[in-house]
Amino acid sequence: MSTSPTTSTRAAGWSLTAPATLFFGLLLAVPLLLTFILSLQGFDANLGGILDSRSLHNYAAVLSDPYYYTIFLRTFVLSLLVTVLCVLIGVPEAYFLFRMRDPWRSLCLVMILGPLLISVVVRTLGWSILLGREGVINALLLKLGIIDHPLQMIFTFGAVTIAMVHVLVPLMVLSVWTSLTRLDPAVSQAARSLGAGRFKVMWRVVLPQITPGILSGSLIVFALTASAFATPALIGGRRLKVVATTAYDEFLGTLNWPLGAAIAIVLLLLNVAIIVGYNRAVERRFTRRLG
Amino acid sequence: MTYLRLENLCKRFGETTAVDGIDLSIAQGEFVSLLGPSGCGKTTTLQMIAGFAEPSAGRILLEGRDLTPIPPEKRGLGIVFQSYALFPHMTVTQNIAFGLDMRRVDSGERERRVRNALELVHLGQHAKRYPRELSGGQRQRVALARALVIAPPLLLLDEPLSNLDAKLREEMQDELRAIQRKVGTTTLMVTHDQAEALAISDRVVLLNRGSIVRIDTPHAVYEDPQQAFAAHFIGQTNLLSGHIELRVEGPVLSANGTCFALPAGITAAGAALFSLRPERIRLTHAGSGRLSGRVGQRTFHGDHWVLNIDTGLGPLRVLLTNDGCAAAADGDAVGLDWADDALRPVREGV
Repeated sequence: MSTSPTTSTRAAGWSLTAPATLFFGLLLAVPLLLTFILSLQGFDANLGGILDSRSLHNYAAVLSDPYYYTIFLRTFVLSLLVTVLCVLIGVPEAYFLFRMRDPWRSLCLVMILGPLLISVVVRTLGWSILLGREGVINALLLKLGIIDHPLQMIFTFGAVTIAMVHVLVPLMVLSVWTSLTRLDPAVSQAARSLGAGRFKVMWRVVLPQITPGILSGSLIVFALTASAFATPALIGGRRLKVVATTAYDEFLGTLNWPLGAAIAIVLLLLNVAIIVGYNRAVERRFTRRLG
Repeated sequence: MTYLRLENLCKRFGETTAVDGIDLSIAQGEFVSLLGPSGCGKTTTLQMIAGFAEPSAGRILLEGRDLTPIPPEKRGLGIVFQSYALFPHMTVTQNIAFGLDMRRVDSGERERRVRNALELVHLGQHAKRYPRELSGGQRQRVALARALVIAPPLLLLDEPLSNLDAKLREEMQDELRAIQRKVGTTTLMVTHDQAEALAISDRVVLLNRGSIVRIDTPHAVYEDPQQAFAAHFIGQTNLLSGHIELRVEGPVLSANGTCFALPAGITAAGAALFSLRPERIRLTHAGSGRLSGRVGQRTFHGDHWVLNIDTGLGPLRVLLTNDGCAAAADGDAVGLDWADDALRPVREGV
């Protein structure tokens, strides 16, 4: 037995992973690399657009302008808020769903996961119909005489938050659901036999065991909010820019592709840093206990 | 003096009846096993006593108090689950202290009781570990300590040893019994393993299809099974069926054209079924004894031999203690004999 694999097994390994490598290479690595190269190039509208130069000028522009700080901060606060709300709504939702009996349980699960089958754009448009100046809610409130001029709901931070939570809460439910189904029901029974009421069982026994599920769900929700485009674009509009919509505007509005690319790369790096750091912290805490 | 009493306990799931009118009285300090094949209703019975399943009819009385309307967390019973059901996010100490926390026992008292419980199950040095860092046997001990530390009036064990390997299981059987004797907690164990039930129980409750077949001491159930089901399920046996004929020289059992002498006390003729335990049969010289046969197959098990002997009544299983000499070889003609009381009449059914 030799410790290093022979040439033929190594070749077999490479050839077997080749399709996946090629797939990710072409569809992920190459576009990312091209975006990065693009972000290093200059731009001058008078000289005919993108210049063939290499500098960190665009990054300096993004990192030195308070205008972008506001956008990045807004994106971060939005992501954090949406994540917290998804935890507060999604965890109890998954738990109640889990405790239901079967015809209702499957029915409610389909109802919760059903929206995932509908495009984000369609779901978001639903919110703009509800929240618009001449939307359903304003029309109703006016008719009832509760208000005398329409409320500004769309294009506000609150509206974006509500719509984002609505779009992402099913993912949190799914993530928590998975860890709930892995629980041994006897563990909750053991807690009850030892004198814990239903609430204590949930708080002291169930919740700690599903924490990894909640944490991974939060990670998904956070990352998706930070990079979300459709919902902030439709509900937040140009008044309430987030990083993704800013990058989009640079590409299609001012046609400054290199600056847009730089913004996208900064968002990517921040996102990766937050996710990796969070994962590290979580892993250190839970591997010993729950494996 | 009855301590725990089950009165006409029933559980129906839709059309099927899982538990069909169980009546049982257990004295304080007794160790009783509910024994039966899977689907006999033993686990459902335990679930009803624990409070996790609601009886369709009947009552559960503990020291004269009806438990049926009381939720599980107020019953205060100690339960050891088949999967142990330890809290995976808590250390051994935290697991054991959980029941005391719920009872708001003050910290000094709690610490003392947890320490005693750890000592009782010999786990002192593992106090700070998490369940996943323990072996199966150690988890079992934690589960037992956690159930006993609250000083429950009744300890329920649900197949407690079925997840352990054979050698460890035997060790834990002895230890479980020793701990139960020491603590004196009235214990009800559910098991499908007859050897386990015989080894640790004061009394065995044999269940089949939701009803009690027999309640007695392990020795009495084994020696005088009374029903064919009991004879088969507990230990191994030879069932001999035939016709009793009263002849001049005494009663005989005849079947397939062969017959052998029955004890003189039998006076009723007709169809009959007997149980004859393999270890009660003696081998004699060919031509002597009650029956003659030929060794079909012989297997060696270390401390004993098992012989399949072909007789006119069909194959008979014989168990011989290994006394150092080789037993009769395959194909040898032998005679079979047994004491009068080895042959036990049994009933068919149930």
